Amino acid sequence: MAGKPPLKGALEAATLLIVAGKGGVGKSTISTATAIAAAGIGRRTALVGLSHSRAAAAVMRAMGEEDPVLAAIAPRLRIFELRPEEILIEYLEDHGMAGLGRRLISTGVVTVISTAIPGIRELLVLAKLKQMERSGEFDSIILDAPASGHLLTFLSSPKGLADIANVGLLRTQSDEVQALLSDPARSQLILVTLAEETPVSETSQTYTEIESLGVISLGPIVANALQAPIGISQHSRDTLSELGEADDRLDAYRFVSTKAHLQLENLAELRRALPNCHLARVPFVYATGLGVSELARLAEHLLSEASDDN
Amino acid sequence: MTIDKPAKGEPVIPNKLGDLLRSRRVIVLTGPGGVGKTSSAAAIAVGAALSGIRTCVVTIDPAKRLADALGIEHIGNDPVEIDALGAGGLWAVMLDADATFDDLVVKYATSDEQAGRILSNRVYQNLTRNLSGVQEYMAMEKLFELHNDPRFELLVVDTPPSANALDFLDAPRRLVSFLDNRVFRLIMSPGPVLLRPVSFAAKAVLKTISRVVGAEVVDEAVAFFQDFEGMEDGFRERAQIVQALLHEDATAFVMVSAPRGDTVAEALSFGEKLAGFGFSVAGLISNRHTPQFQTGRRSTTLEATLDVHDREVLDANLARMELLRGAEEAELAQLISKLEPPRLARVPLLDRDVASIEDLAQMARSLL
Repeated sequence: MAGKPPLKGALEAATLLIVAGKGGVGKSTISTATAIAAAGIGRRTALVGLSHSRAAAAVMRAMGEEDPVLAAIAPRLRIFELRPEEILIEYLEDHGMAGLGRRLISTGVVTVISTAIPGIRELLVLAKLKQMERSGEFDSIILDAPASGHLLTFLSSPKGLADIANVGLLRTQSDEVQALLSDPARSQLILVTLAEETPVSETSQTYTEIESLGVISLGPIVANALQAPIGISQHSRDTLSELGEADDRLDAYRFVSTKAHLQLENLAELRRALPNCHLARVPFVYATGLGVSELARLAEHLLSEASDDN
Repeated sequence: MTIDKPAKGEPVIPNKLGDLLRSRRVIVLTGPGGVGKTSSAAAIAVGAALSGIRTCVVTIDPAKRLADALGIEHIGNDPVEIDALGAGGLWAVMLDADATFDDLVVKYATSDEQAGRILSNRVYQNLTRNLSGVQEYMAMEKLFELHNDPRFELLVVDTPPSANALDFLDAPRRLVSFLDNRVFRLIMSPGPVLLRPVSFAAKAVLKTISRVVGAEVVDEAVAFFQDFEGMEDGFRERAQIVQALLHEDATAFVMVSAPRGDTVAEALSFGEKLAGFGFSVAGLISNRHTPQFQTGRRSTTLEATLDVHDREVLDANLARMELLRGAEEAELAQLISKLEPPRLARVPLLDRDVASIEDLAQMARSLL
């Protein structure tokens, strides 16, 4: 595996990639860039979210305007927004219960039932993904998953449901989704993190929990927003470390160097905690938001960045 | 290389958040995930305690980040005094939403048997986790309890990093309407003759659901509503009291954001939602700003010692940081113009995680 770009490997290994992480780690950016990367290597790709992220919306807009940056991949990339209620209605219609769905929602019965059965919303989303996967329309399906506080609920929903619902259509769905998640050739989980202390410890905890639950096979961890160290000579570094005079460039240099150094330490900690994980590194971008050009560059990076795995 | 001048066109906002400490009894921090709400809440509480105000910080973040920052091992559902400050006057509580809800059930149940049946019902057990906003609402419930606690002069409340962090505002209504559910209420009591046809219709609906989810689940849901009979009024009244507390003048909502495109967009939609519930934003905390390095200081030794290449690298680094800072100021300006917060605190990005009371005290200086 050494040397192979981890995200490219994951794309080639499984159809469904679930991209997850805490708020603020750049999960939507990474899932959108991964979808662009997938379409870029010729895969028919679906980018799926529970609500449109800014990045996904930017890509949609750009494709609508026939932006030249995305021209080459646009025919192979589709973007979906899934709403559990709508999936339920569609599902009931497919099973000869048209008309019932809307009534269930308007009377609040769905709220009661989805409370009675934890994870039914999650299951609906996963069942829809399963249907997309089965349809054969897509080579890659990238899910921008809900924030990882609920990740375990999300991934455990089919298992939990299979335990609760012994019979009925729900049971069939749970079993089929479980089969999808447990097959590494069909689905993988990609955790996105920042190389900061708290996100790193939370990520390694989530990774370990998921590993022990065995609900889904674990793909690479994406370490996002990594500050590149400043490339100057050792002589210059020594000079700067002893410089007593005030200088703007020196302060900016120190700030960036400290950040880069701490990030390396945090990544080393992640490596120690999870010696077997594959790590994809994504550089920090000096911008407050990414446009399609930056997303396309990020996609290139994901496809080319060599793994540092042992 | 052009450098953005932040002062140009930026609205003048005089205050940081300091005056809120003495003019309010409750400060609720809200905002998108990943912006440092928990650290901000802890920092405000530390700052308040340092200025002699007896303060309790309430968090419902399951990641126990507050505990980390405060350097204590465990904080539980009851306030724990943090003595790391020396001066005292600082408490922290980590909310256990399930336990809070359980307490309410026991309080409003007419008998121990009723409470026991509800607590063991699976629908109930999933309620806090699965009915959107209930967990957050329980934080408000806890807030109400703490509000009456004479030990505290100020409560600082952190809200959870969920996608719908404002759900708690709507949660009381949602919870009450959940408990009032028509279909289930009709099915459990055949009631007056007039209602029977409706009841049959309801039965038909439930029968169809049974085909999808299995009869067991439906039975348990019906049992839940039967057990809950008579308790809705207590919950409804309580919900109104908590809502009233949030609407009091002594309660301030503070938005926490970060100067990034995604985050600002989310913060704006939060602001609209807050306004929709009749709350105004008493202050804005904009976290994680790139520090300003460009101040015109140049070292002659640096000029003389470093070679041209390395000096160019350093120049480029400074310029990039400054460009980023300019872009951040533009994001913040957009948020300010829409949100019009009467108070603003800009917090620089730290080069490391908040790890101690000292870090929090330092952050408090930026905030207050």
